[in-house]
Amino acid sequence: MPFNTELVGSTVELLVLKLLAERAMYGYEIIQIVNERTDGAFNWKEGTLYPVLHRLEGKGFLVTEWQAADSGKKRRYYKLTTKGRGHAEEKVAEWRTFSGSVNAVLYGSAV
Amino acid sequence: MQEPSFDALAAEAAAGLKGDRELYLEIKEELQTHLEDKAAKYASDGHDEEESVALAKKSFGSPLDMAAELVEANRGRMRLRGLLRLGFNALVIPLAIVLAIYVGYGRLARLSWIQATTASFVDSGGPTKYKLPALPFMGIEEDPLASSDLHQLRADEQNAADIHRYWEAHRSDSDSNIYYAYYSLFANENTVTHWKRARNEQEKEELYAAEMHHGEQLEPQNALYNTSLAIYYLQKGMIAKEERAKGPEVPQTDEVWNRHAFELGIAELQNAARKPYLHTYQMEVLRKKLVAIPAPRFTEDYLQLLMVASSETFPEYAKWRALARKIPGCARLLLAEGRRADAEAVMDTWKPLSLLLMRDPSNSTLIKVLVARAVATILSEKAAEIYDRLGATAKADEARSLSARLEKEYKDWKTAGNARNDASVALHGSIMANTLLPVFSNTPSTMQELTPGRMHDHVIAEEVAVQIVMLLLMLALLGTVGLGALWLLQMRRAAAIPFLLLPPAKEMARALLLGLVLPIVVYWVYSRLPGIGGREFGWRGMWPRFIIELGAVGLVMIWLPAFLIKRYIHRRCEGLGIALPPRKEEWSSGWKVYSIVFAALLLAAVALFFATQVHVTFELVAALLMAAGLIGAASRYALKKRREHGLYYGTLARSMAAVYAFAILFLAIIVQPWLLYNEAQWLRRDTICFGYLAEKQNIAGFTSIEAKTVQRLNAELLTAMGEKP
Repeated sequence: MPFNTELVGSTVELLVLKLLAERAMYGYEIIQIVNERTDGAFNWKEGTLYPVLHRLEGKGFLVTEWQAADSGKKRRYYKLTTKGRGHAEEKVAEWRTFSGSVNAVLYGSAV
Repeated sequence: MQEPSFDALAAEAAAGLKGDRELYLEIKEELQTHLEDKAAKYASDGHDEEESVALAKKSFGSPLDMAAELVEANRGRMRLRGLLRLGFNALVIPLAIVLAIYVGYGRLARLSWIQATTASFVDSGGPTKYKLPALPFMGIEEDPLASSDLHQLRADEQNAADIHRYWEAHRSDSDSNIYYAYYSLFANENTVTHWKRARNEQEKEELYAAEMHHGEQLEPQNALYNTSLAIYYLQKGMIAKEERAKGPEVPQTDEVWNRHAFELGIAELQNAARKPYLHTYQMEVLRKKLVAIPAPRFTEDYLQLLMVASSETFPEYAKWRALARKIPGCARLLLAEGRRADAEAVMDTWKPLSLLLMRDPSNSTLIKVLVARAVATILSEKAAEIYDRLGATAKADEARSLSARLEKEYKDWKTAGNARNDASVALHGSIMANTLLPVFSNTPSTMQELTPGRMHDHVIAEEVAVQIVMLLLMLALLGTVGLGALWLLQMRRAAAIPFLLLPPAKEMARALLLGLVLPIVVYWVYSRLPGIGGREFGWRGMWPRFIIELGAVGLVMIWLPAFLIKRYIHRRCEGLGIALPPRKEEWSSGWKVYSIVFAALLLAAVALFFATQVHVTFELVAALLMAAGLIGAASRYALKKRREHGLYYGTLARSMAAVYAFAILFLAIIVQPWLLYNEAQWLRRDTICFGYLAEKQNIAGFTSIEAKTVQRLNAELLTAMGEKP
């Protein structure tokens, strides 16, 4: 089911930050993981992901490094900075409050 | 229609970032690898290669939309990076070059200043050495007494009029007698203040005599004015055979030239011998001058103190040496005229005058004490001869005995300087201590006393080493900037235009820490830890080892930061998909280029050296042109040989400038001031050589060791003369 563009756009940054809090990843890998974890519900395009990654990098939340995989192929890995880690926690807390409030209205419960 | 390749598609999507070529290449490369990953996934899902590529491109969407999104996302970063690059090109590189030139020129100016100053110190009659003009904040003060009217008191016979003017300006001072006594040391009939008024020789003589008598009125007990008059009259009135040039055509006899002056001279000799003391006040004037000079900080300032001090200790020896010859001459002339009583009276002045000279409170440098001893020895030997001829046996025996005792004391003093002292100063002393070895030889100095001067030498050598490193870094900086510009021109028609990679702060800090700070710290610990670095030894005899050590650290400081940053640039270029040359190719063209550049620099250095020695302007210009030609040829060869990987080489050349510029800034802003601080500290603590004069009011000679030596020798000589020290 295709989602509303604005709804998707507002969650990309949160999801990227949350995934990168787990470990360093490259762009295509992020898209793949999001796709897998949402059972294909979120099928991001390059135009969705990379501007967000670059914006976060510009703000100093992420740093990048070219690393060669076992196959020898080079990829640009994104890694959270300390500042980015703090920002990720804020974003997750913000989402928790926001989604709890939405759920409380929709289902009478914050969960 | 042929489908665009991934490279072209990625380039189109990143096209809006071309204003920042590094960012553009990076994001283009990122999108390309993304598309390749995606195509590989389609292939693994069972699509054939062509389908996989087509699907990857299709799912990528519109590159134009992507380009707009990427520009928006990177706008702030591009602006900031643009400003950083502009700042680097417009500020950091010029600042590094200016600072390197300033520090390097400062060293040359300081060296030329020291060379000219020491040349005038040791050889006042030699050719004037050229002094490079000092730039602001270099700390080179041309005339340390410029702000004080004391500069009029220059110890110089040509300057007697100024000294007299100074006395007139200060005649109401309580110590104005000091200035008048000082004036009388340099005054003669041609330099007395009012000599222009004199119509003839007679009037000149009267004016001079009046001025000396005026001094006598100011300080009646001081023998200075009577001795000055005695020397003046006797110079005019007679010549002793000892004063004559040796040769068969010159009669070796005493002779009266001017009877009137001769008699007046004899009378003044006897007047002087009756006075209780002689005081030239040179040390008082020196102390006043030293107090007026701003507090010294660096070597040049201390050398100036030495210059001022030396000018106060040399000037009036000729007069005393002349007196030592004239007194026996006068006695012989009187004896020849049958005036035996007058002859004996004149000869009787030898001992009081010798003692007056020995007891002059300004007799505080070794050279002065040695002159006083020589005068006393000559006079006692001659007195014994004259007394023998007069039949005054007791006086002759006393003079002979005193002469022998003076000689013995002097020989004892000379041999007292034991080999252990000399060896200690030679091994552990500073260059200055070794220059003053005759003084140190007779008064043992402790390791604690020798350390500051020696460490000062080491710090100066370290300053020079840092300045050479800065000079080489500046040449490397200019070379990389120039080569980068050549590569830009060379590659301007190619799609692959070299760009500037500014290493991130972390990489730069790492390169500077590992490449500059660490070697400096290691060297510092090595050289300052007793028993390891050997800085408990001076430069004399050990200089090859110290030069090798400094050279090794210097090479590491030039090579290591560049190597570390080059590795980073290499990695970045790989990440950006820039084709790198095989290592073998880089080496094979590299050593030829560097050899030619090295030869060119060597040629320029040799040309510069010869030009400074013999002033051969045309040969210098020719050699510099040849060096420039060689560098041009090397650059041309490099550009031609390496064109295939021009993007890499051009980017490398342009980017290496950053490390060189920051290395220069680090050395100029942190290391050089730190060394200057150390130089000032060691100088201040060097109480036996440089630092001693900075004590100003309390000094009694050039160095504290000399003061001790002089005090001891003078006491021994006075004891030999049968006097209480």
